[in-house]
Amino acid sequence: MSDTNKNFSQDEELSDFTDHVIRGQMKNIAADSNEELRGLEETILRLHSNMPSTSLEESTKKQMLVRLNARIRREKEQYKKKSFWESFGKLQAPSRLQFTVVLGIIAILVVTMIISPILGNSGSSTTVGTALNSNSNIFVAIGLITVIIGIIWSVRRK
Amino acid sequence: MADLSASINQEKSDETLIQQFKDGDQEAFTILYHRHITNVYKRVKYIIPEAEVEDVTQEVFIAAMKSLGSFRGDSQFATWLRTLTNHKVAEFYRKRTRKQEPQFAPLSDGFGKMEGSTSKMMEERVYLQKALSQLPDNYREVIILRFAEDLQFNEIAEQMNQNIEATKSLFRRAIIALRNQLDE
Repeated sequence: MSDTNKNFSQDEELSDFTDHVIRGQMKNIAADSNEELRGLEETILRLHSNMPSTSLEESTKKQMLVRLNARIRREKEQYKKKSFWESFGKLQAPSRLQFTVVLGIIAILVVTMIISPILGNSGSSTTVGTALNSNSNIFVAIGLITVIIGIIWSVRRK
Repeated sequence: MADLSASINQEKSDETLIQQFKDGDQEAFTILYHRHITNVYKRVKYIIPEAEVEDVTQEVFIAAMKSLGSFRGDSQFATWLRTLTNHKVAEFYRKRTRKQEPQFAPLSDGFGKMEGSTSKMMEERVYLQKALSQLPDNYREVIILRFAEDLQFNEIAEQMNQNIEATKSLFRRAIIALRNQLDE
């Protein structure tokens, strides 16, 4: 028998043996197997007995579906939250840190705006008052620029 | 309920259900789930540690739902789902390796979950799973299709776009490779 024919015959024998094992019609190595096939049949039996193809119970299927639906709901809610931010020109939702920084900057700006008129009126002479007024304008300008930079940074795409 | 059972039992084709899902019918996805869960679960169970099987199966269906919109029907839905399952299994092992956890869970992970399994059987199972994971993809695939999904050789040939002789030959070579892995 040529090698090709021998291999073909072994392919057929092994697949037939596997079919019988899976159907439960064969529990031992075939009596007429040659030495070469024996080792392979042993492996088939080992696979079949230790890795049974158990069917999934109806109750498990349902439990898994309930958990799957819950997960899908959660993911949809997250998507909705994201899409609120994304609606502003595809911007990303800010992180907690970025949000805190923006709040901090706004607070500084508000304080600056409150303090600047007080500083502006606190001088006793007109010359001092004018100097302080111009200083407070610089404060407001710096504050505004900082706020704009902060907002751009907070919503920039990662 | 009777309607759902009828739909699961092939009243509507997968393609029809996918189109319905794309049109916003969530129930269509539930029918697809019921129709394919058993095969996905069996495949995952064959190659993933017992304790993780349900989670990985869930990941497969989440991924399926997310990408079903882009499913164009170039292949059968079952084939597409099989590929998706293989990706999720590969991802599971990648994450495990990254976390530097042992690739195959300690035996205690599966205890209490497999009714009727002895510890020796569990040990053998882990050993076989490890050997299977080290086989080339096409060898592992032919073994899983025959043993886990219980497809006949002619059906496997169709799935793999081969003739039946080539499939049986591939199967024998796969078993030889598995035996060599187990002997190492």
